[in-house]
Amino acid sequence: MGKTIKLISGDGEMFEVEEAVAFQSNIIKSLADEDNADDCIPLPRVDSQILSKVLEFCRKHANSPSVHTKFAAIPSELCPKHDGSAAGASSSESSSAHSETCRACYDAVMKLVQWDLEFVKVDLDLIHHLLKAANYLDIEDLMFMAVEGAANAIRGNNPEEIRKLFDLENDFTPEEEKEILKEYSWLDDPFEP
Amino acid sequence: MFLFQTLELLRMVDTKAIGKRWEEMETDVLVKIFKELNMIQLTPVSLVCRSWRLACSDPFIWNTLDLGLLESNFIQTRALPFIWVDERSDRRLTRILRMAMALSCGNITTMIFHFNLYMKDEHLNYISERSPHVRRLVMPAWNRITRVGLVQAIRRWEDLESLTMPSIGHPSYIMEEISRSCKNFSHLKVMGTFDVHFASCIAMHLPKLKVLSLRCSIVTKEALLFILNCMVNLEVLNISHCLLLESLVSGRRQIRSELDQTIFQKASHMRDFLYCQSSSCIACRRMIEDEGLMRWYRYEAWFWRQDEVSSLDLGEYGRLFDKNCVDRLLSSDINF
Repeated sequence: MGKTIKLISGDGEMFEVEEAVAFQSNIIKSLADEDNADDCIPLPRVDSQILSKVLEFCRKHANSPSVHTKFAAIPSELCPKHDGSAAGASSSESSSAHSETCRACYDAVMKLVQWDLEFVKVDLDLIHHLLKAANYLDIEDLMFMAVEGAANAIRGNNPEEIRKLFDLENDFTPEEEKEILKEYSWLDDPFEP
Repeated sequence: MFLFQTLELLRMVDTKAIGKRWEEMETDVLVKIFKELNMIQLTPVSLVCRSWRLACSDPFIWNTLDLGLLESNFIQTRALPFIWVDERSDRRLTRILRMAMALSCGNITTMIFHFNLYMKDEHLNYISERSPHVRRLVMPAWNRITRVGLVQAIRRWEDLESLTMPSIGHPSYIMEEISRSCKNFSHLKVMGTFDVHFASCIAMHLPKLKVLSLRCSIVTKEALLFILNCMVNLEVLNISHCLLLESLVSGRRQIRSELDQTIFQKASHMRDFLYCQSSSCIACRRMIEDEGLMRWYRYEAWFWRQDEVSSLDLGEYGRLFDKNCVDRLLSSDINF
């Protein structure tokens, strides 16, 4: 177990996690970098329920290649097989040659993506909180998946359905709405999913 | 130090921090979500409420409209304009452009079309009116556009900096109009053939041109020398995989497979001189097989989109117009 970081949620709960997990957040990373005797970072904008979800995500991602990373950039230390000898590459180009042809790396990333998709296949309320948390804490992978989760909820729905899902009010005047609909006459059925 | 940090963070606390309402979601987060949707999926989003409608037209989503997956349904003919496009294809293009123009609210700065997308003056007119801030245009098919139509569009696109165009017989009118209307114009890519007439038009009307790519074209040696001699402001020249034609004393022309020293010497003042005339290069081999007029349709979909000059390369298609859109539009054609 490496060095740990203590995080305090908005409602006062303390979470102790490994650096590798907490440092998925660029904000936490930069706060911890400064000389901090207590090693305790307060996160008043994130409550414990959300923070625990965020940390669950970060724990899963801590020692895996990012879903963003092109396969060519995955360093061999992150390979599940830890086998840097793919295609007889020389040591100087071991990183890129390794993961381009390494089946284990490819499978690991695909598995992670699957896990992520399940993770965000939840209610929009949670996605909403995760988006805010990922934005505030600057966690790239979580942002990416939460965005995808929200986009998935939108796709294929008409405006009224979207309003219901996201609990939004229609603040257009009837005249405005009529004008907009006139503009959008290109689709035979604008609201057909 | 710790106390200071806490105070800073507390100052940022939103009194409704644990609020559930999506209305409070920051625009930049909304924009990131909407960027994952194609333009058909974006349409209902823009009807949800005011803040969402605004976020839908954000430049982050619309700065590039890449219609590289859209082709016309066409056949080649023996008479001008050598292309016949069916009406449904034209109507389909109109619908897509109307959608894009309405949603983007004039925020498009780069427009990309396929080399088999044969638009008409009316389409060009429509997009130049509603997207006046275009800085980069990639439009390799001009068969059905008239000179007047093209000139009118260029006149509206004062911010135009970069153009990818097909080789045309008499390019001077275009170069003239660009020099008149587009003060920041600096990047040109020509696809097809490049002779000394074309070179002289560019040298005369676009002396400030910085970047020129002729990759995968037939270029006469005269034209190349003209460019190297006259275009003193040119910083980047790309003649990769070009077939270099040289006129012999006998009047015949032959393909030069190598560049000679004078060319390298003249090119030395430029920042980047990109060339590739190699029998082991796939692109070069294809040029030879196709006798200089690259038949792009025979090769990978991304092949024509490449360029060794990064500012002229096209990269991935983006989300706005994806395969989903193509299928959806094709299937709804039946209702017409």
